[in-house]
Amino acid sequence: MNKLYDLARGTVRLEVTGAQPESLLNFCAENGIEFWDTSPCDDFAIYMTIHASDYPKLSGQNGKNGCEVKHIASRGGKNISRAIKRRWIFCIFCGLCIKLLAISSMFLWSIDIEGNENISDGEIMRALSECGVEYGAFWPALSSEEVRSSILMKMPDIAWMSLNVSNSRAVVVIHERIEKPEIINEKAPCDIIAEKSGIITKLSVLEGKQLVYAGDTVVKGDILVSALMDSETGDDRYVRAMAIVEADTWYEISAQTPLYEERKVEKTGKDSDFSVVIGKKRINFYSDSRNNSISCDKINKLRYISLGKAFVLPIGFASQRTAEYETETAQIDVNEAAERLKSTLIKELERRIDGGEIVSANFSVSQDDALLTVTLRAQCRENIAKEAAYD
Amino acid sequence: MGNFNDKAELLADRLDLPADALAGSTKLSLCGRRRLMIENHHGIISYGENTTEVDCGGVKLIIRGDGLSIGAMDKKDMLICGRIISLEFE
Repeated sequence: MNKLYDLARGTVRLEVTGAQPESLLNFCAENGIEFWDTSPCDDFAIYMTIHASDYPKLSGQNGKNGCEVKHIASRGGKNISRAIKRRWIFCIFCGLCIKLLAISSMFLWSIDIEGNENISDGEIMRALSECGVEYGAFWPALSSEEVRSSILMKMPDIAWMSLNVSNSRAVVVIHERIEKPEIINEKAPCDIIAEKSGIITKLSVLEGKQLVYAGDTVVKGDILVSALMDSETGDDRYVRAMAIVEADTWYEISAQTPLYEERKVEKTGKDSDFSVVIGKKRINFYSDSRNNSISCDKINKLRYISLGKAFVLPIGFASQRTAEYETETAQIDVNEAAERLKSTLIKELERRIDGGEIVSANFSVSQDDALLTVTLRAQCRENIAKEAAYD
Repeated sequence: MGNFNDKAELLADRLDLPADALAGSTKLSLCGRRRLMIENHHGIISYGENTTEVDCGGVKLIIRGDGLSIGAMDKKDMLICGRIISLEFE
Protein backbone atom coordinates (compact mmCIF):
# COMPACT_ATOMS: atom_id res chain seq x y z
CA MET A 1 0.00 0.00 0.00
CA ASN A 2 2.83 2.36 0.90
CA LYS A 3 4.53 1.58 -2.40
CA LEU A 4 1.35 2.43 -4.30
CA TYR A 5 1.09 5.69 -2.37
CA ASP A 6 4.71 6.53 -3.17
CA LEU A 7 4.15 5.65 -6.83
CA ALA A 8 1.11 7.93 -6.97
CA ARG A 9 3.08 10.81 -5.43
CA GLY A 10 6.11 10.12 -7.58
CA THR A 11 9.60 9.26 -6.41
CA VAL A 12 13.09 10.46 -7.35
CA ARG A 13 16.26 8.42 -6.94
CA LEU A 14 19.29 10.59 -6.11
CA GLU A 15 23.01 10.17 -5.80
CA VAL A 16 24.63 12.46 -3.25
CA THR A 17 28.38 12.83 -3.60
CA GLY A 18 30.79 14.98 -1.63
CA ALA A 19 33.14 15.07 1.33
CA GLN A 20 30.27 14.54 3.75
CA PRO A 21 27.14 13.27 2.03
CA GLU A 22 25.66 12.46 5.48
CA SER A 23 25.09 16.19 6.00
CA LEU A 24 22.36 15.99 3.36
CA LEU A 25 20.66 13.20 5.32
CA ASN A 26 20.72 15.46 8.39
CA PHE A 27 19.30 18.28 6.30
CA CYS A 28 16.44 16.00 5.18
CA ALA A 29 15.72 14.91 8.76
CA GLU A 30 15.69 18.50 10.02
CA ASN A 31 13.42 19.73 7.22
CA GLY A 32 10.96 16.86 7.33
CA ILE A 33 11.95 15.44 3.96
CA GLU A 34 11.10 11.78 3.95
CA PHE A 35 13.78 9.52 2.44
CA TRP A 36 14.26 5.78 2.16
CA ASP A 37 16.31 3.10 0.41
CA THR A 38 19.51 4.82 1.46
CA SER A 39 22.56 2.84 0.56
CA PRO A 40 26.17 3.98 0.75
CA CYS A 41 27.84 3.65 -2.63
CA ASP A 42 31.36 4.35 -1.35
CA ASP A 43 32.94 6.62 1.28
CA PHE A 44 31.88 9.76 -0.55
CA ALA A 45 28.56 8.84 -2.19
CA ILE A 46 25.10 7.79 -1.01
CA TYR A 47 22.04 6.73 -2.95
CA MET A 48 18.66 7.77 -1.60
CA THR A 49 15.04 8.02 -2.71
CA ILE A 50 12.68 10.91 -1.92
CA HIS A 51 9.22 12.03 -2.98
CA ALA A 52 9.19 14.02 -6.21
CA SER A 53 7.54 16.97 -4.44
CA ASP A 54 10.56 17.28 -2.09
CA TYR A 55 13.07 17.32 -4.94
CA PRO A 56 13.09 21.11 -5.49
CA LYS A 57 13.91 21.64 -1.80
CA LEU A 58 16.79 19.20 -1.98
CA SER A 59 18.09 20.35 -5.32
CA GLY A 60 18.56 23.75 -3.69
CA GLN A 61 21.24 22.14 -1.57
CA ASN A 62 23.20 21.16 -4.65
CA GLY A 63 26.69 22.53 -4.28
CA LYS A 64 26.22 23.56 -0.65
CA ASN A 65 28.24 21.88 2.12
CA GLY A 66 30.44 20.40 -0.59
CA CYS A 67 27.66 18.02 -1.68
CA GLU A 68 26.48 17.42 -5.16
CA VAL A 69 22.97 16.07 -5.75
CA LYS A 70 22.55 14.09 -8.95
CA HIS A 71 19.18 12.98 -10.27
CA ILE A 72 19.30 9.32 -11.35
CA ALA A 73 15.74 8.21 -12.05
CA SER A 74 12.09 9.19 -11.59
CA ARG A 75 9.07 6.94 -11.10
CA GLY A 76 5.32 7.51 -10.82
CA GLY A 77 3.62 10.88 -10.22
CA LYS A 78 3.84 13.16 -13.22
CA ASN A 79 5.43 10.40 -15.28
CA ILE A 80 2.20 8.44 -15.00
CA SER A 81 0.03 11.38 -16.05
CA ARG A 82 2.36 12.00 -19.00
CA ALA A 83 2.11 8.34 -19.99
CA ILE A 84 -1.67 8.51 -19.73
CA LYS A 85 -1.74 11.58 -21.99
CA ARG A 86 0.36 9.76 -24.57
CA ARG A 87 -1.82 6.60 -24.49
CA TRP A 88 -5.25 8.16 -24.15
CA ILE A 89 -6.93 5.65 -26.48
CA PHE A 90 -5.62 2.77 -24.40
CA CYS A 91 -6.83 4.47 -21.20
CA ILE A 92 -10.30 5.06 -22.65
CA PHE A 93 -10.39 1.41 -23.68
CA CYS A 94 -9.42 0.34 -20.14
CA GLY A 95 -12.09 2.62 -18.69
CA LEU A 96 -14.69 1.14 -21.03
CA CYS A 97 -13.63 -2.36 -20.04
CA ILE A 98 -14.01 -1.52 -16.36
CA LYS A 99 -17.45 -0.03 -17.03
CA LEU A 100 -18.49 -3.10 -19.03
CA LEU A 101 -17.22 -5.32 -16.24
CA ALA A 102 -19.22 -3.34 -13.68
CA ILE A 103 -22.36 -3.51 -15.82
CA SER A 104 -21.95 -7.19 -16.68
CA SER A 105 -21.49 -8.04 -13.01
CA MET A 106 -25.15 -7.06 -12.58
CA PHE A 107 -26.18 -10.03 -14.73
CA LEU A 108 -25.86 -13.74 -14.06
CA TRP A 109 -23.32 -15.47 -16.27
CA SER A 110 -22.56 -18.49 -14.12
CA ILE A 111 -24.96 -20.69 -12.15
CA ASP A 112 -23.52 -23.45 -9.98
CA ILE A 113 -25.69 -26.06 -8.32
CA GLU A 114 -24.41 -27.89 -5.27
CA GLY A 115 -25.75 -30.54 -2.93
CA ASN A 116 -28.07 -32.43 -5.32
CA GLU A 117 -27.66 -36.18 -5.63
CA ASN A 118 -30.91 -37.60 -6.94
CA ILE A 119 -32.32 -34.55 -8.69
CA SER A 120 -30.45 -33.68 -11.88
CA ASP A 121 -28.90 -30.27 -12.56
CA GLY A 122 -31.11 -29.96 -15.63
CA GLU A 123 -34.35 -30.28 -13.64
CA ILE A 124 -33.17 -27.68 -11.15
CA MET A 125 -32.01 -25.34 -13.93
CA ARG A 126 -35.42 -25.60 -15.62
CA ALA A 127 -37.22 -24.79 -12.37
CA LEU A 128 -34.81 -21.90 -11.70
CA SER A 129 -35.36 -20.59 -15.20
CA GLU A 130 -39.12 -20.51 -14.61
CA CYS A 131 -38.42 -18.41 -11.51
CA GLY A 132 -36.27 -15.97 -13.50
CA VAL A 133 -32.87 -17.32 -12.47
CA GLU A 134 -31.17 -17.96 -15.79
CA TYR A 135 -28.15 -16.88 -17.79
CA GLY A 136 -28.27 -13.17 -18.43
CA ALA A 137 -30.83 -12.44 -15.68
CA PHE A 138 -30.56 -9.09 -13.90
CA TRP A 139 -29.79 -10.41 -10.43
CA PRO A 140 -30.49 -7.30 -8.28
CA ALA A 141 -34.16 -7.78 -9.28
CA LEU A 142 -34.19 -11.33 -7.92
CA SER A 143 -35.45 -12.04 -4.45
CA SER A 144 -33.72 -15.01 -2.90
CA GLU A 145 -36.69 -15.76 -0.66
CA GLU A 146 -39.21 -15.63 -3.51
CA VAL A 147 -37.09 -17.92 -5.64
CA ARG A 148 -36.71 -20.32 -2.73
CA SER A 149 -40.47 -20.38 -2.03
CA SER A 150 -41.42 -21.03 -5.63
CA ILE A 151 -38.74 -23.70 -6.12
CA LEU A 152 -39.88 -25.51 -2.97
CA MET A 153 -43.47 -25.36 -4.27
CA LYS A 154 -42.46 -26.65 -7.71
CA MET A 155 -40.11 -29.38 -6.54
CA PRO A 156 -41.38 -31.27 -3.48
CA ASP A 157 -38.22 -33.42 -3.47
CA ILE A 158 -36.25 -30.40 -2.30
CA ALA A 159 -36.39 -29.82 1.45
CA TRP A 160 -34.47 -26.56 1.49
CA MET A 161 -32.46 -24.41 -0.87
CA SER A 162 -30.51 -21.20 -0.84
CA LEU A 163 -29.53 -18.84 -3.61
CA ASN A 164 -26.32 -16.87 -3.11
CA VAL A 165 -25.40 -14.34 -5.76
CA SER A 166 -21.97 -12.80 -5.83
CA ASN A 167 -21.24 -10.47 -8.75
CA SER A 168 -22.27 -12.43 -11.81
CA ARG A 169 -22.09 -15.87 -10.24
CA ALA A 170 -25.02 -17.60 -8.55
CA VAL A 171 -24.54 -20.57 -6.25
CA VAL A 172 -27.64 -22.64 -5.58
CA VAL A 173 -27.30 -24.95 -2.59
CA ILE A 174 -29.84 -27.79 -2.53
CA HIS A 175 -30.81 -30.04 0.35
CA GLU A 176 -32.86 -32.96 -0.90
CA ARG A 177 -35.78 -34.32 1.09
CA ILE A 178 -35.06 -37.55 2.94
CA GLU A 179 -37.72 -40.21 2.43
CA LYS A 180 -39.94 -40.77 5.45
CA PRO A 181 -39.20 -44.22 6.93
CA GLU A 182 -41.94 -46.83 6.85
CA ILE A 183 -43.93 -46.79 10.09
CA ILE A 184 -44.08 -50.24 11.60
CA ASN A 185 -47.00 -51.26 13.75
CA GLU A 186 -45.18 -52.95 16.58
CA LYS A 187 -48.37 -54.52 17.90
CA ALA A 188 -49.25 -56.32 14.64
CA PRO A 189 -48.33 -60.05 14.94
CA CYS A 190 -45.71 -61.34 12.54
CA ASP A 191 -43.58 -64.44 12.01
CA ILE A 192 -39.90 -64.67 11.29
CA ILE A 193 -39.27 -66.59 8.09
CA ALA A 194 -36.09 -67.66 6.28
CA GLU A 195 -35.07 -65.13 3.66
CA LYS A 196 -32.62 -67.60 2.12
CA SER A 197 -31.96 -71.34 2.26
CA GLY A 198 -29.15 -72.56 4.53
CA ILE A 199 -28.04 -74.35 7.69
CA ILE A 200 -28.70 -72.52 10.92
CA THR A 201 -25.60 -71.95 13.03
CA LYS A 202 -26.90 -69.63 15.74
CA LEU A 203 -30.38 -68.47 16.73
CA SER A 204 -31.32 -65.75 19.26
CA VAL A 205 -35.06 -65.44 19.81
CA LEU A 206 -36.20 -62.26 21.54
CA GLU A 207 -39.96 -62.74 21.08
CA GLY A 208 -42.12 -65.54 19.65
CA LYS A 209 -42.11 -69.31 19.58
CA GLN A 210 -38.91 -70.95 18.31
CA LEU A 211 -39.60 -73.61 15.65
CA VAL A 212 -36.07 -74.44 14.43
CA TYR A 213 -32.72 -75.00 16.16
CA ALA A 214 -29.01 -74.68 15.38
CA GLY A 215 -27.96 -77.37 12.90
CA ASP A 216 -31.37 -77.47 11.17
CA THR A 217 -31.54 -76.99 7.41
CA VAL A 218 -34.13 -74.48 6.24
CA VAL A 219 -35.31 -73.43 2.81
CA LYS A 220 -36.39 -70.00 1.74
CA GLY A 221 -39.80 -69.12 3.22
CA ASP A 222 -39.75 -71.59 6.15
CA ILE A 223 -41.17 -70.19 9.38
CA LEU A 224 -38.35 -69.97 11.91
CA VAL A 225 -40.06 -68.20 14.80
CA SER A 226 -43.85 -68.19 15.07
CA ALA A 227 -46.00 -65.28 16.19
CA LEU A 228 -48.42 -67.67 17.90
CA MET A 229 -47.35 -68.42 21.47
CA ASP A 230 -48.89 -71.14 23.61
CA SER A 231 -50.16 -70.17 27.04
CA GLU A 232 -50.64 -72.68 29.88
CA THR A 233 -52.95 -70.39 31.82
CA GLY A 234 -55.08 -68.64 29.21
CA ASP A 235 -55.75 -68.25 25.50
CA ASP A 236 -53.00 -68.32 22.86
CA ARG A 237 -51.14 -65.07 22.42
CA TYR A 238 -50.13 -63.38 19.19
CA VAL A 239 -46.87 -61.44 19.32
CA ARG A 240 -44.52 -59.68 16.97
CA ALA A 241 -41.72 -62.25 16.64
CA MET A 242 -38.17 -60.95 16.86
CA ALA A 243 -35.03 -63.01 16.31
CA ILE A 244 -31.54 -63.02 14.86
CA VAL A 245 -30.95 -66.18 12.85
CA GLU A 246 -27.42 -66.79 11.61
CA ALA A 247 -27.06 -69.42 8.95
CA ASP A 248 -24.48 -70.76 6.52
CA THR A 249 -25.58 -70.02 2.99
CA TRP A 250 -24.10 -70.95 -0.37
CA TYR A 251 -23.94 -68.87 -3.53
CA GLU A 252 -23.01 -69.54 -7.11
CA ILE A 253 -22.82 -66.42 -9.24
CA SER A 254 -21.50 -66.17 -12.78
CA ALA A 255 -20.41 -63.24 -14.92
CA GLN A 256 -19.52 -63.16 -18.59
CA THR A 257 -17.70 -60.85 -20.93
CA PRO A 258 -17.05 -61.11 -24.68
CA LEU A 259 -13.51 -62.02 -25.67
CA TYR A 260 -13.52 -59.59 -28.57
CA GLU A 261 -14.47 -55.95 -28.46
CA GLU A 262 -14.89 -53.10 -30.87
CA ARG A 263 -12.26 -50.40 -30.43
CA LYS A 264 -12.20 -46.88 -31.78
CA VAL A 265 -9.20 -45.88 -33.88
CA GLU A 266 -9.07 -42.15 -34.48
CA LYS A 267 -8.39 -41.08 -38.02
CA THR A 268 -5.95 -38.28 -38.63
CA GLY A 269 -7.21 -34.83 -39.48
CA LYS A 270 -9.34 -33.63 -36.59
CA ASP A 271 -11.49 -30.62 -37.29
CA SER A 272 -11.74 -27.85 -34.71
CA ASP A 273 -14.37 -25.17 -35.11
CA PHE A 274 -14.49 -22.02 -33.05
CA SER A 275 -17.28 -19.67 -32.14
CA VAL A 276 -17.58 -16.61 -29.92
CA VAL A 277 -20.42 -16.49 -27.42
CA ILE A 278 -21.66 -13.04 -26.38
CA GLY A 279 -24.42 -13.30 -23.81
CA LYS A 280 -26.88 -15.72 -25.34
CA LYS A 281 -25.76 -15.04 -28.94
CA ARG A 282 -23.31 -17.29 -30.69
CA ILE A 283 -21.15 -16.24 -33.62
CA ASN A 284 -19.81 -19.24 -35.51
CA PHE A 285 -16.60 -19.08 -37.46
CA TYR A 286 -17.52 -22.11 -39.48
CA SER A 287 -20.18 -22.71 -42.09
CA ASP A 288 -21.42 -26.25 -41.53
CA SER A 289 -21.74 -27.98 -38.16
CA ARG A 290 -23.38 -31.15 -39.48
CA ASN A 291 -21.69 -34.53 -39.26
CA ASN A 292 -20.53 -35.57 -42.68
CA SER A 293 -19.18 -38.82 -41.40
CA ILE A 294 -21.21 -41.56 -39.72
CA SER A 295 -18.57 -42.45 -37.13
CA CYS A 296 -17.21 -39.42 -35.40
CA ASP A 297 -16.87 -37.93 -31.95
CA LYS A 298 -17.99 -34.38 -31.39
CA ILE A 299 -16.59 -32.65 -28.31
CA ASN A 300 -17.98 -29.25 -27.40
CA LYS A 301 -16.30 -26.95 -24.92
CA LEU A 302 -17.63 -23.61 -23.75
CA ARG A 303 -15.61 -21.28 -21.57
CA TYR A 304 -16.58 -17.80 -20.41
CA ILE A 305 -13.88 -15.25 -19.73
CA SER A 306 -13.67 -14.75 -15.98
CA LEU A 307 -11.50 -13.06 -13.40
CA GLY A 308 -11.14 -15.77 -10.81
CA LYS A 309 -14.51 -17.15 -9.73
CA ALA A 310 -15.99 -13.81 -8.80
CA PHE A 311 -16.29 -11.96 -12.12
CA VAL A 312 -17.60 -13.84 -15.11
CA LEU A 313 -17.86 -11.88 -18.34
CA PRO A 314 -20.69 -12.55 -20.79
CA ILE A 315 -18.09 -13.21 -23.47
CA GLY A 316 -16.83 -16.71 -24.06
CA PHE A 317 -15.31 -19.04 -26.59
CA ALA A 318 -16.82 -22.27 -27.75
CA SER A 319 -14.80 -24.90 -29.50
CA GLN A 320 -16.15 -27.92 -31.29
CA ARG A 321 -13.76 -30.71 -32.09
CA THR A 322 -14.82 -33.38 -34.53
CA ALA A 323 -12.71 -36.51 -34.68
CA GLU A 324 -13.58 -39.22 -37.15
CA TYR A 325 -12.87 -42.79 -36.10
CA GLU A 326 -13.00 -46.32 -37.39
CA THR A 327 -13.80 -49.39 -35.37
CA GLU A 328 -11.73 -52.53 -35.31
CA THR A 329 -12.27 -55.81 -33.53
CA ALA A 330 -9.57 -56.69 -31.01
CA GLN A 331 -9.16 -59.43 -28.43
CA ILE A 332 -9.30 -58.34 -24.79
CA ASP A 333 -6.64 -59.13 -22.21
CA VAL A 334 -8.09 -62.34 -20.70
CA ASN A 335 -6.29 -62.08 -17.33
CA GLU A 336 -7.26 -58.48 -16.86
CA ALA A 337 -10.88 -59.20 -17.79
CA ALA A 338 -10.98 -62.19 -15.40
CA GLU A 339 -9.70 -60.03 -12.52
CA ARG A 340 -12.27 -57.36 -13.34
CA LEU A 341 -15.07 -59.94 -13.32
CA LYS A 342 -13.83 -61.43 -10.03
CA SER A 343 -13.94 -58.08 -8.29
CA THR A 344 -17.41 -57.43 -9.75
CA LEU A 345 -18.61 -60.79 -8.45
CA ILE A 346 -17.23 -60.16 -4.96
CA LYS A 347 -19.01 -56.80 -4.90
CA GLU A 348 -22.25 -58.44 -6.01
CA LEU A 349 -21.89 -61.11 -3.30
CA GLU A 350 -21.26 -58.46 -0.64
CA ARG A 351 -24.38 -56.65 -1.82
CA ARG A 352 -26.45 -59.85 -1.54
CA ILE A 353 -25.28 -60.87 1.96
CA ASP A 354 -25.72 -57.28 3.23
CA GLY A 355 -23.24 -57.18 6.12
CA GLY A 356 -22.72 -60.94 6.34
CA GLU A 357 -19.38 -62.70 6.38
CA ILE A 358 -17.75 -64.57 3.49
CA VAL A 359 -16.46 -67.84 4.99
CA SER A 360 -14.86 -69.21 1.82
CA ALA A 361 -14.87 -68.32 -1.86
CA ASN A 362 -13.35 -69.79 -4.99
CA PHE A 363 -13.48 -68.85 -8.62
CA SER A 364 -13.50 -70.89 -11.79
CA VAL A 365 -12.68 -69.36 -15.16
CA SER A 366 -13.74 -70.85 -18.47
CA GLN A 367 -13.81 -69.58 -21.99
CA ASP A 368 -15.30 -70.65 -25.29
CA ASP A 369 -14.96 -69.07 -28.73
CA ALA A 370 -16.58 -65.80 -27.89
CA LEU A 371 -17.17 -65.52 -24.12
CA LEU A 372 -15.13 -65.53 -20.96
CA THR A 373 -17.09 -66.84 -17.97
CA VAL A 374 -16.06 -66.47 -14.34
CA THR A 375 -18.07 -68.32 -11.67
CA LEU A 376 -17.90 -67.58 -7.95
CA ARG A 377 -18.83 -70.27 -5.46
CA ALA A 378 -18.93 -69.01 -1.90
CA GLN A 379 -20.00 -70.04 1.56
CA CYS A 380 -21.27 -67.18 3.70
CA ARG A 381 -22.60 -66.62 7.19
CA GLU A 382 -25.43 -64.13 7.45
CA ASN A 383 -28.66 -63.22 9.19
CA ILE A 384 -31.50 -64.85 7.23
CA ALA A 385 -34.38 -63.70 9.48
CA LYS A 386 -37.13 -61.78 7.72
CA GLU A 387 -40.39 -60.50 9.13
CA ALA A 388 -43.61 -61.77 7.49
CA ALA A 389 -47.17 -60.88 8.43
CA TYR A 390 -48.90 -63.63 10.42
CA ASP A 391 -51.68 -65.39 8.50
CA MET B 1 27.26 20.95 26.50
CA GLY B 2 28.49 17.43 27.30
CA ASN B 3 29.24 18.57 30.80
CA PHE B 4 25.72 19.97 31.17
CA ASN B 5 24.22 16.73 29.90
CA ASP B 6 26.30 14.70 32.32
CA LYS B 7 25.11 16.84 35.21
CA ALA B 8 21.52 16.62 34.08
CA GLU B 9 21.77 12.84 33.85
CA LEU B 10 23.33 12.75 37.31
CA LEU B 11 20.46 14.86 38.66
CA ALA B 12 17.91 12.61 36.95
CA ASP B 13 19.58 9.62 38.58
CA ARG B 14 19.38 11.24 42.00
CA LEU B 15 15.73 12.23 41.55
CA ASP B 16 14.94 8.79 40.17
CA LEU B 17 13.56 10.29 36.95
CA PRO B 18 14.01 9.09 33.34
CA ALA B 19 17.12 10.74 31.96
CA ASP B 20 15.72 11.19 28.46
CA ALA B 21 12.79 13.19 29.83
CA LEU B 22 14.80 15.49 32.06
CA ALA B 23 18.06 15.93 30.20
CA GLY B 24 17.04 15.03 26.65
CA SER B 25 19.55 12.23 26.67
CA THR B 26 19.76 9.84 23.76
CA LYS B 27 17.65 6.76 24.21
CA LEU B 28 18.65 3.54 22.42
CA SER B 29 16.22 0.69 21.90
CA LEU B 30 17.75 -2.45 20.47
CA CYS B 31 15.29 -4.95 19.08
CA GLY B 32 17.12 -8.24 18.61
CA ARG B 33 20.31 -7.48 16.72
CA ARG B 34 18.81 -6.16 13.51
CA ARG B 35 16.98 -2.97 14.54
CA LEU B 36 18.29 -0.10 16.60
CA MET B 37 16.04 2.83 17.44
CA ILE B 38 17.86 6.02 18.41
CA GLU B 39 15.76 8.77 20.00
CA ASN B 40 16.96 12.34 20.63
CA HIS B 41 19.89 12.09 18.22
CA HIS B 42 21.75 15.14 16.92
CA GLY B 43 22.42 13.96 13.39
CA ILE B 44 24.42 11.44 11.49
CA ILE B 45 28.20 11.88 11.31
CA SER B 46 29.15 9.14 8.89
CA TYR B 47 27.22 6.49 7.10
CA GLY B 48 28.53 3.18 5.79
CA GLU B 49 27.45 -0.41 5.44
CA ASN B 50 29.84 -1.58 8.16
CA THR B 51 30.16 1.49 10.39
CA THR B 52 27.69 4.26 11.07
CA GLU B 53 28.39 7.11 13.45
CA VAL B 54 25.64 9.09 15.12
CA ASP B 55 25.97 12.32 17.09
CA CYS B 56 24.24 11.81 20.42
CA GLY B 57 24.97 15.28 21.83
CA GLY B 58 28.47 15.43 23.25
CA VAL B 59 29.05 11.76 22.70
CA LYS B 60 29.49 9.83 19.47
CA LEU B 61 27.76 6.50 19.02
CA ILE B 62 29.59 4.12 16.70
CA ILE B 63 27.49 1.27 15.34
CA ARG B 64 29.42 -1.56 13.77
CA GLY B 65 27.78 -4.30 11.77
CA ASP B 66 27.03 -5.73 8.33
CA GLY B 67 24.66 -4.27 5.77
CA LEU B 68 23.71 -1.31 7.94
CA SER B 69 21.11 1.05 6.53
CA ILE B 70 18.91 3.88 7.71
CA GLY B 71 15.37 2.50 7.88
CA ALA B 72 13.79 5.84 8.78
CA MET B 73 15.02 9.16 10.07
CA ASP B 74 13.54 12.41 11.23
CA LYS B 75 14.64 15.32 13.36
CA LYS B 76 14.66 13.34 16.62
CA ASP B 77 14.46 9.66 15.84
CA MET B 78 16.45 7.34 13.67
CA LEU B 79 16.05 3.64 12.89
CA ILE B 80 19.15 1.69 11.92
CA CYS B 81 18.59 -1.70 10.33
CA GLY B 82 21.07 -4.46 9.53
CA ARG B 83 23.16 -6.99 11.44
CA ILE B 84 24.51 -5.08 14.45
CA ILE B 85 27.76 -6.37 15.91
CA SER B 86 28.67 -3.71 18.46
CA LEU B 87 27.71 -0.32 19.86
CA GLU B 88 30.45 1.96 21.11
CA PHE B 89 30.43 5.43 22.71
CA GLU B 90 33.35 7.72 21.98
